Amino acid sequence: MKSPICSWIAASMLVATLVQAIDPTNPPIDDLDRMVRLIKPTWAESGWSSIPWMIDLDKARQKAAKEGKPLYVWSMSGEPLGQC
Amino acid sequence: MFVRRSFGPQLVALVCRHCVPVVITGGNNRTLQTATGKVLGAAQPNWDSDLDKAFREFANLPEAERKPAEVPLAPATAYRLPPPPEGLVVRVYTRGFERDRQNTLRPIELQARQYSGPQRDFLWLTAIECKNLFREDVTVGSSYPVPTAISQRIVRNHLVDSTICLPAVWSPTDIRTGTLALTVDEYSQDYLRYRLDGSAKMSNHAEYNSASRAADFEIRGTLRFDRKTHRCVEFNVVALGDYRNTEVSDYLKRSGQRTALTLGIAFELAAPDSLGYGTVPYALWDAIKSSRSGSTQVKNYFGLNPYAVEK
Repeated sequence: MKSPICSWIAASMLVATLVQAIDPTNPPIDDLDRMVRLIKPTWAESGWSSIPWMIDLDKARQKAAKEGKPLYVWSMSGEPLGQC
Repeated sequence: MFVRRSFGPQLVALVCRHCVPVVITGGNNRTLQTATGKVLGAAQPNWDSDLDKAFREFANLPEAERKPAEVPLAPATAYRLPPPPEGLVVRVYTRGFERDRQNTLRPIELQARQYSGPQRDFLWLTAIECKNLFREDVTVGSSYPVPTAISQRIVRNHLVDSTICLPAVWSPTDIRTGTLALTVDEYSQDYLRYRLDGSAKMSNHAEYNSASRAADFEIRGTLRFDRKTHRCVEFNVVALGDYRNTEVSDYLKRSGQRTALTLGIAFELAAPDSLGYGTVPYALWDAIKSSRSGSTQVKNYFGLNPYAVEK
């Protein structure tokens, strides 16, 4: 018969393993989907990217002229939608 | 990059409803302009107070200026090199993490808050590179190395710390060890599915521990190729590694730059109609400004000029 201490240790190890396995902040790299979720922008970080930015100024000017709207021009020393 | 956080819900709604939003490179500014390029309001606006003024100015313009029959061509500086014809565009996200005592990964909060999430970039592959990457003369279980041009492009340009600022890329001699290989997981009439496994160790000194800049990454992924359309339909890759750079400037340190952190980098296929498609990879920036598609940087990036027209 197993001692209560051994059972407790075994149970603790099992719980620790399960906690590790479901901890969303510590996915192994092999769990691609979870890693991707952890790296990609969250909803709260994505406000600016919900704007339908165009990257072609010529096309944007034509669209603005056609629709009678002003252009909202965001410029950066980098790429606003890329590395910046 | 910090500007991203300033787009709150109200500004987002305003821009979506009443403007044609466009991004350009060069400068650090946001302006309201007419379709002909006339800047409205202040050129360096304080957006809390000046945007309304700029809108009023636009509303008071004659219709011929609000809705011009013709618009001038954009200046050459707004030119963007297009992605290589029939090639592949991959979106890249880079996020900084710290590890707690239990080795649990946690996003660096300051970076997430101050810079509105992960850094972004793009990876471009040519049509020929895609053909060499997605081999069909294979069997399930067989493995082959990712072509050197592609693996070097990934490692040198993207396994870098860009979390709060433009990154320093790796030179070819900084790559100390590295393997990147595809294994065929599934081979059907319709699809080929590959598993990507690899690692890369970089340092700016022959002795890894003596290097001021060094990194050690593991790379995993899944790629899928449609045999009927001959297109990549899935590019799901993650790199995770420890990175250190002890030569970070004081200015960047004050801005939240770490001298040591864990980097998580995700790569995913970018659809042609998705946001930012066509944004030039950081490693190709000079090609935008200089001699466009014939620039040395284009040749360095691709190893050839994919835009050259055969005569």
